[in-house]
Amino acid sequence: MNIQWLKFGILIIVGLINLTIGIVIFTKYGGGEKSTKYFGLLCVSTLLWSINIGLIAVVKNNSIYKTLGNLTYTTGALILINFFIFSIYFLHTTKNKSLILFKILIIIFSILTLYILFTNIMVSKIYTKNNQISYTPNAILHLLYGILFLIILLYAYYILIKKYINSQGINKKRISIVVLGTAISFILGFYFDWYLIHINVFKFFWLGPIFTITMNFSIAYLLFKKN
Amino acid sequence: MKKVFLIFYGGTGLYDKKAGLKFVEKYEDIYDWLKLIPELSIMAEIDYTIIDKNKDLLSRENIAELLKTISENLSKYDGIIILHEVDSIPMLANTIFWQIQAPEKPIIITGANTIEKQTHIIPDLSFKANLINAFQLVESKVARVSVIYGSRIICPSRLKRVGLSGLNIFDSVNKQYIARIDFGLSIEDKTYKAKESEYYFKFDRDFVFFKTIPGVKLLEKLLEKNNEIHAIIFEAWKNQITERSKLIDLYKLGQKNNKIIIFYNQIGFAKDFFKHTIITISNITPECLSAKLSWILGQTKNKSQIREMLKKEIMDEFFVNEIIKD
Repeated sequence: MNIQWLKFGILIIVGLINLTIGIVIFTKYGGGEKSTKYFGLLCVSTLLWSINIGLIAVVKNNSIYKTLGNLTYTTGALILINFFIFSIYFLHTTKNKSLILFKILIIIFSILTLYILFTNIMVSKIYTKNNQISYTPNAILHLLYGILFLIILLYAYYILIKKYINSQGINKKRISIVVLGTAISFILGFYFDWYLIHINVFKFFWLGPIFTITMNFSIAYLLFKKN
Repeated sequence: MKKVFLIFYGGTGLYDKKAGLKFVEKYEDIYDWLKLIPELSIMAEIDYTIIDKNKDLLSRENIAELLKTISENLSKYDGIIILHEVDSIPMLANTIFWQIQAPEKPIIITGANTIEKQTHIIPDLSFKANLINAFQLVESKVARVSVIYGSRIICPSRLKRVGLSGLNIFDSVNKQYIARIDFGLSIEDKTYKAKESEYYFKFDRDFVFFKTIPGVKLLEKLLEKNNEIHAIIFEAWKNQITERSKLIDLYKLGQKNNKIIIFYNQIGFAKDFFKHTIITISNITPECLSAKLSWILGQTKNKSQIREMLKKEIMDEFFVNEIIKD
């Protein structure tokens, strides 16, 4: 079996696991609670991201590749935005003056993502290496995207960790599992799918979505553990 | 923004790293106490009152005041949260469950499990979470009387205490929960359909509940015609062999003096020997039975009506008993 198709298969499985968790969340909580609703959407976004990266591994057509390459920034942004909103509503709503600033930042980040999606600036240089199409991203745009992504992500964790410090009992346990599970996924996802691409190492890009499994396991533990 | 009415009725030991252990003893304490959990005022608009717990904890006066407060405020708010001592939560919750049947909004009971040792006090580190989760339960609009503690939200009629301290000190006798706190707030009893709301302000607790059959002399005294006791409940032990003739004698004495005799166990009776004499009741928790009898006695003193109402399932109070363990 072609190694590229194997990567694609693994990423589809990862995507399906995310979809399953998303469906379980929507079925169990009915979308009424904001935090679970946005985490469900995060799982669906992770499914899209996994499929997106999976397709990049197998696609041979340069123009489709460009579209898919641009789309990874959009699916990645969807994950982040849903996670940020989730962090605001999880356990109890956060109200903070700097939240307004971060909402503005998210709007800027969304505009940047749409700009990347609808222009050909980000994925411009395409080349084939080891039977795999790769690209060199636009350094400035890629860096700007990464910095904004990281700032928003760190603020989301700042909110969650603050909630962890102030929480007691069952809520402390819930938030620690969520923080641990998602942090591993975000750190490794960011490393493989932003940092390595930033330094032009493309062969590990497909590993990023696989580490969302730690997030899935931690949430599944909370969802299915009795007592 | 949701509106929540908080009733302070004991069980307020809130631990804060900086402030230490803080209790609400009087109305004036509430404002500062609430400042220790700023999350609550973000989640809902809060109004509050206090029921003087320094009187006898579950006294007639206190319960009457509590019922009046609930009935006057429930329509004005999205839900009512009652803070109470965890030791008497099962009794209080069942009393509210029977007196305010099928409320139109959530009535949630929780409290701090503060344990007083000889030399020190052990604070309840789950209390803050329980209170925040109670506010979330108001948001979810589960219009029922419920008890929230740890990861479980339990209907009072299923409630039993299972531990002195820990994350979950209450459990459900048949492992059925109204909801659970896991990743979010997971409503388990989705099929529940409420009947019309009914408020009952009359209750009568002039009955005694024995865990075993007491001595004859005491019984004769309790069964005297002129005392205020309307009923006597005996709880049979699981393996207790009771002389039927002794119980029949008791029944006769009770009958003569216009007292009701109830023979109770949680497991159930294989054969109802006392179909026409003593009232046998099973598959109900002792707290729920007490609160039900108190509610019934508040509505009627007619013995056949009492028998009929006790035996009849009114509020889904009877449960399948396979899971009951010591």
